[in-house]
Amino acid sequence: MRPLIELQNITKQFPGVLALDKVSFTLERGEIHALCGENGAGKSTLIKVMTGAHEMDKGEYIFDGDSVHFKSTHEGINRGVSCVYQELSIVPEQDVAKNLFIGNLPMKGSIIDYKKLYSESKKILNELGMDVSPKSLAGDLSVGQQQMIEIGRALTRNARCIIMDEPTSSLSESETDTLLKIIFMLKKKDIAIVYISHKLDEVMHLSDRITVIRDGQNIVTVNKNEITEEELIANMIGRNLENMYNKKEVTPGKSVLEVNNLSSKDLFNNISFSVRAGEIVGFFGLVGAGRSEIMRAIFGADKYNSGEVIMNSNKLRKGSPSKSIKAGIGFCTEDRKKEGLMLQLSILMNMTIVKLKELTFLGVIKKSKQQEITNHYIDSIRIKTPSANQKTGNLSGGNQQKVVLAKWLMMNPDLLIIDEPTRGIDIGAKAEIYTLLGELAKQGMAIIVVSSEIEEVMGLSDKVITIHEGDKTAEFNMKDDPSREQILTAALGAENI
Amino acid sequence: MSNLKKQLKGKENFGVVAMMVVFIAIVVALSGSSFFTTKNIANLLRSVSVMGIMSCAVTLIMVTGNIDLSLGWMIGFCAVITGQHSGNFGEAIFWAILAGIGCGAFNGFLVGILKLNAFIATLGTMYAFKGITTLYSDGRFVTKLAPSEVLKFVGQGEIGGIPTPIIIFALFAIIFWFLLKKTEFGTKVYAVGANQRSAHFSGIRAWLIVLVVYTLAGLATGVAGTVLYAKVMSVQPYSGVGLEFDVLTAVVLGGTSVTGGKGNVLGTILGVIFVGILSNGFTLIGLGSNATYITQGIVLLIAMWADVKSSGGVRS
Repeated sequence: MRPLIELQNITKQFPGVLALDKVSFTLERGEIHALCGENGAGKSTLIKVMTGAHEMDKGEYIFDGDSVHFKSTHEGINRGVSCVYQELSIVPEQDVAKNLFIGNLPMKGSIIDYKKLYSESKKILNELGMDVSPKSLAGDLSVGQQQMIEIGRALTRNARCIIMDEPTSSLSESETDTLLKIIFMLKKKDIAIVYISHKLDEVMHLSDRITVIRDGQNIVTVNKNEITEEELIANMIGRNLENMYNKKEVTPGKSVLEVNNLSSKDLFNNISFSVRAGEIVGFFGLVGAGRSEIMRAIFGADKYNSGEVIMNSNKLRKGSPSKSIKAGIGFCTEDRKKEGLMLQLSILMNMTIVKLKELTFLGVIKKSKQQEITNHYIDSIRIKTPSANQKTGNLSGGNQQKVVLAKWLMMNPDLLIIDEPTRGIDIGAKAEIYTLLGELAKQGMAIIVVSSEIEEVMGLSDKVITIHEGDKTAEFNMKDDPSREQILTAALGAENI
Repeated sequence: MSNLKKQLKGKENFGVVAMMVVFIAIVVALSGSSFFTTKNIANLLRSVSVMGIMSCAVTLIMVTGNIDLSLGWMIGFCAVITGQHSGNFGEAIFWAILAGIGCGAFNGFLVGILKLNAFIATLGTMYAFKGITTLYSDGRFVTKLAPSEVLKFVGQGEIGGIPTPIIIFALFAIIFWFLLKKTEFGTKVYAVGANQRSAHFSGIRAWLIVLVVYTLAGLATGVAGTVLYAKVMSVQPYSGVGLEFDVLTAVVLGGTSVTGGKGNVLGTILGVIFVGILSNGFTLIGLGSNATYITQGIVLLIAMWADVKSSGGVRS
């Protein structure tokens, strides 16, 4: 039997970029096929060609034996190609059933057949193993459950192929496990899966075949057991990667930040810790444990009920990011699109927005200086862009994250808080960011790294603090060489150590 | 012109501008030689100067992603105040600007600090300003027999052959263009409009920026009110009604996005001139004001469509 999808020599050109250069790709029926590559390698473009979101310039697309040319995602969906995107498209104000059948509601004449809607929804929810009423509001579900709804939506459309773009990037560990089980269930139903993830352990665990894309070209397609994780990485970045966390030995200096008994109702209680110059402190805990909330309170973006934040021996005012910035705190937020960047504005404007005051004379911006410093950072942290005036929204995720970083590095903060520094970022950019953080610490910057990846926290930090349900459960000095299990146990709140 | 073209092209609203230019060319061709007389051009610019002064300031409000519907009655209020003090220019402009700043700051307080929806908040103040203006003027038309000479000069005089209202408009255009494009404040205006949350996390006090842009619009309206009165030395309390929509039309035609984060004063100036030509040119070729309204409406819709098309280009 022919494969479900055959792409032959697909070429797609965007202004100034050759996004896909004669890429060929096949998807067998009921196969789990992982698509790996760095940000900007062309994965997104490839799946957009598959779904019909982009039209290809050249090449042939054969679906189920027929040559097709989808002009919209609608056409793709009708043939059975569905996609679960990184950004969920749940309508939070509507119930689960309507979300499942959105755009495809069962009708009786010209009115909605509610009886069928709820009974069919129930069936789909059972299939997905979800213990949720079809009448509950979609907005009340967890992110993981919402993602299941998206997959369920594909099932209601009789999808024969489901493309998943970074499905686990915002899921907790148990939610990820559930998702992986469901993917295997789908495979049994002969639904083919294209799986995109930066998490290579998932890729190795899940997939039947792996395709690596780099610079718009298909580098290799192999069966999973024919490749090691190291080879995979080497193929993705086009070189061998040495030690990712190039940690340098630093003697911590004076205390920069002191947090005493910080509490915010229902979010976190009695958090105390300190960070010294040159020290990297890692905050580890599950998604929703309250780590980000603590950081937002310290930075002044959110208010808190009691406790104090002392920065360089001065007490910080509550709820004022501009005061915190003046006191020397930089904060790379977790969600770079919603809280970090202004996507429709240029790299130049985004990068210099915090430092702007220093680039002005009587309120007037010194353009050449602004341009110069932006170009300097674009070069030094290697942001891939044709110019500083490029819209930030046109950059890939990793490059966007670098713009956020550069924005804060420019102000040369005494303390840099960085929440999920590498979410949705490819491995090459990850390594670059780790190296950068290490160098900054060496120069005496105090750094807080919040992460839900334990390797990242352990590899980077001098000190690890675990948070469980808003409480600080433990503090580890990495010199004492704590084990992975010890840290995980503390983060799960199993017992206080 | 080529530099201007480049700048507008970069803002992706080139299509609308090109359309406006083609449109203008047709009107001009049909009206024959009567359009390109110095007198007609001066007339045209003079007729849009009041609206132009306000449009420059409203561009900033729209770039923050907000709107102001109260301007029509606000300018009526400022014009009436000018009329009441028209014997002394200093007093007249002082009170008109003060009233404008007061009204604008109040709008800014509602939208920036209380975080009310701008559309509804300024709809509310529109009614309030209507009441205040009507009460203050007793609902009657205001005129004084012995106006100050300076005031007369502001409305009817000329500097080097150019009518004073046009010069005031040009001055405002330059100031607001500079403010938006060249200053720290302007960049923050864009930032707030593009993503208020990111702006907050970058240490920008969004409430302050919003308060200031509304206050600036109030100031501009104060000046515009004085010019409005001075042009004919009499004013009806409701004479600004409808002006707010001409202003919004001009700003949107100029490529400013209704959702914020995008726009520029150069485009607004073109929009203002276009709206002026529409009524002036149509009159010249013998079409009435109703044809003008229909065309203005259609052009506005096309401009909105162009905005939707261009903002759809951002990779999500």
